[in-house]
Amino acid sequence: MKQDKFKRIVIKFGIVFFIVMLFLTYFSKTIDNLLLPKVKISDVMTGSLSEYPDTMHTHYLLPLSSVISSEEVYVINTLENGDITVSSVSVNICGSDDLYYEVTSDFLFSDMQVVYMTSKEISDGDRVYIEEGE
Amino acid sequence: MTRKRKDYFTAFLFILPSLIGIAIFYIVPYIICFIKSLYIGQNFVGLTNYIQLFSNNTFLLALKNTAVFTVIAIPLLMVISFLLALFLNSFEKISSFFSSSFLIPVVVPIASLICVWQVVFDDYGAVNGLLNTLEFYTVEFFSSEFSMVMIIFIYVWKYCGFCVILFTAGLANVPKSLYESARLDGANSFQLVTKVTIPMITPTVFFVFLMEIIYSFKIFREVFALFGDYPNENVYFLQNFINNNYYNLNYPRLSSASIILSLFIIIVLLVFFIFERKHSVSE
Amino acid sequence: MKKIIKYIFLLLITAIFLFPVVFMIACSFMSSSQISEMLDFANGEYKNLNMIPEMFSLEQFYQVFFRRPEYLLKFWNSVIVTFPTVIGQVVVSSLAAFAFAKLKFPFRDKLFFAYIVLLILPLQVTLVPNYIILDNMDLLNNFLAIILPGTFSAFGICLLRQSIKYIPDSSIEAARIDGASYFKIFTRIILPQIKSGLVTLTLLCFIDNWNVVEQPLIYFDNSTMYPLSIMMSEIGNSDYGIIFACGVMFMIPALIIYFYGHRDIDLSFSDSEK
Repeated sequence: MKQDKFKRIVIKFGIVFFIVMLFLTYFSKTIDNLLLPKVKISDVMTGSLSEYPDTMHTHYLLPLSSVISSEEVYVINTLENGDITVSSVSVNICGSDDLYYEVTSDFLFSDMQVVYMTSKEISDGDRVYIEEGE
Repeated sequence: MTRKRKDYFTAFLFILPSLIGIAIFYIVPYIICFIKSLYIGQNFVGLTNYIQLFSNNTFLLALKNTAVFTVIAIPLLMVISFLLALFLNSFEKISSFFSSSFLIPVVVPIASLICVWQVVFDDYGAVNGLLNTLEFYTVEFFSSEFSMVMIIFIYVWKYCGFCVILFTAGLANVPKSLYESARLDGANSFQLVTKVTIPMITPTVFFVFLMEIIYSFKIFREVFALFGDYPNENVYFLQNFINNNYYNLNYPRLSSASIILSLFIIIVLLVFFIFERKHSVSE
Repeated sequence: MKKIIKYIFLLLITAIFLFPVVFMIACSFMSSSQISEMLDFANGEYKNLNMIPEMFSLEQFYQVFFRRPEYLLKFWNSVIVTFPTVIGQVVVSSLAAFAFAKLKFPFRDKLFFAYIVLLILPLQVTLVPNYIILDNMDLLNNFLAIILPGTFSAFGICLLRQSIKYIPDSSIEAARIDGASYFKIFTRIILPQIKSGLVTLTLLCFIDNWNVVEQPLIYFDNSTMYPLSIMMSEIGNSDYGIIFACGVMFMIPALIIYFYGHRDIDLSFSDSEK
């Protein structure tokens, strides 16, 4: 009697285990992405806000919200295994307007993308999920 | 006569599926293996491969280690599991928790446990930590003759529970009345075991022995997992030898080594078979 | 008093058997930094078998299940390889074991002896010839390359013959006199009585094939077909962080079968003749 009950529990557990495994096999990527901080990104643009451009350095325009207080921005890296991570890059702010900061940086290049909005706090090296922006 | 023949035919039908499979996947490969052991490249060389093998030091080392392992581990496992089975049998009633925990080591896959063994047996592992606090020397389980001890321990640990269960089953088949009459004759408990129990469970002993041999060859998966392809010379077994020649594609040597190994097994088994036959007749 | 000592001894033995498994499960809840510290053998500290995670963490499981879907796919490869083998072996070997244990035919014992010898042969002996045969049958890079040889292993015959032997001849004789065919005897009398033997075989055969390592490496070119066991043996070189969680995932199916049938296994070899 007791044994039958135990067997039934084991069978139920087995079925649940296999269903969970099946479910995970199909949805693990999706779930993983759901758990990651969702970020929106924009391309780094070269350009200048001032009328007399500084020709010595390349100036970049970044959305206001991408630069965090310590004069850092997060840029997107795509690793070899397909993971997307962020890394922080320090910038020097030269000027700003309603939409953009004008920055210079030795570590910023025009093919990079910066994070301007995130659903969770991120730090250097975190994996993120890129949400297609409006 | 026809009835008998019909019976043979039915029996044949029952084993036919397995016979076909065995022939294709075991017997034919074995024959191919034997033929290859007589050739080097395309040339027929007779027994040269075998003779060369016996002048090969690595092979002799592997043979020695395998023999040592077989001679020590199998009887040891047999004795330990028999004693444990007697011990379990001495309880009047026992929770199935205990007997079922005995089988757990067989159930857990090898690969999962390798890390645990490393933590336990490493030079700085738990066992050596304990020895160190007791002010003994460090035992290098991975690079000294204690490697063999470790492998034997793992082997006994892993298959002991299974053998215990086989033995308890055998013990359960011994009629209680036999014990009682022996006790009336004035036998003490040691005599009870040697005179009543052991003769009664000879078929079980044979079966356990067979299982132990089969499993003693499977322990090499653990050896590979712990030591890799080239373990130290204390645990370099025939399987390692065969396996390494397999990777080197030294096929003549591989096949002749395999044939020798199987001859070795056949002899051991034949002895045991004859032994069993004798005993079951005398019963 | 004597009883207490006996029970303490029993508990001790049980602990020895259970310890590595419990330890592994405990480790699977440790954070990966604690694991890599524990498996770093070069730092000159003695390891103690710490069963209590410093910090309860599901990090390893998260890594296995969500970050590395390839492990999940390998898990299904293992299932595809193992389940048909187990079913096939149980069917084939119960038929043959019945013949070897209860029917009479010429060369019976000699044939059985040959089976045992073949069973004990090391795997490496047959790997290359089998490769040639499978190549001729056009089965390489097909899961059948592992399933078929596994199905016909003589192990099951050996095991089931032992449990069928315990069934008294008289019940078979009686059925014969009633005019039952051997096949009917097999399904009606033999099979119900060796249920526990079948469970044991299922478990042992499952474990054997679940752990398969050598054959896939040789028969499959494509590493996406590799079962989980191969990943398990390679994981030790690369991913310490998830090794225990992977191990736990790896052993769950075996444990399920075991817990389903463990009572039967205990009884397996002592059923009858009481």
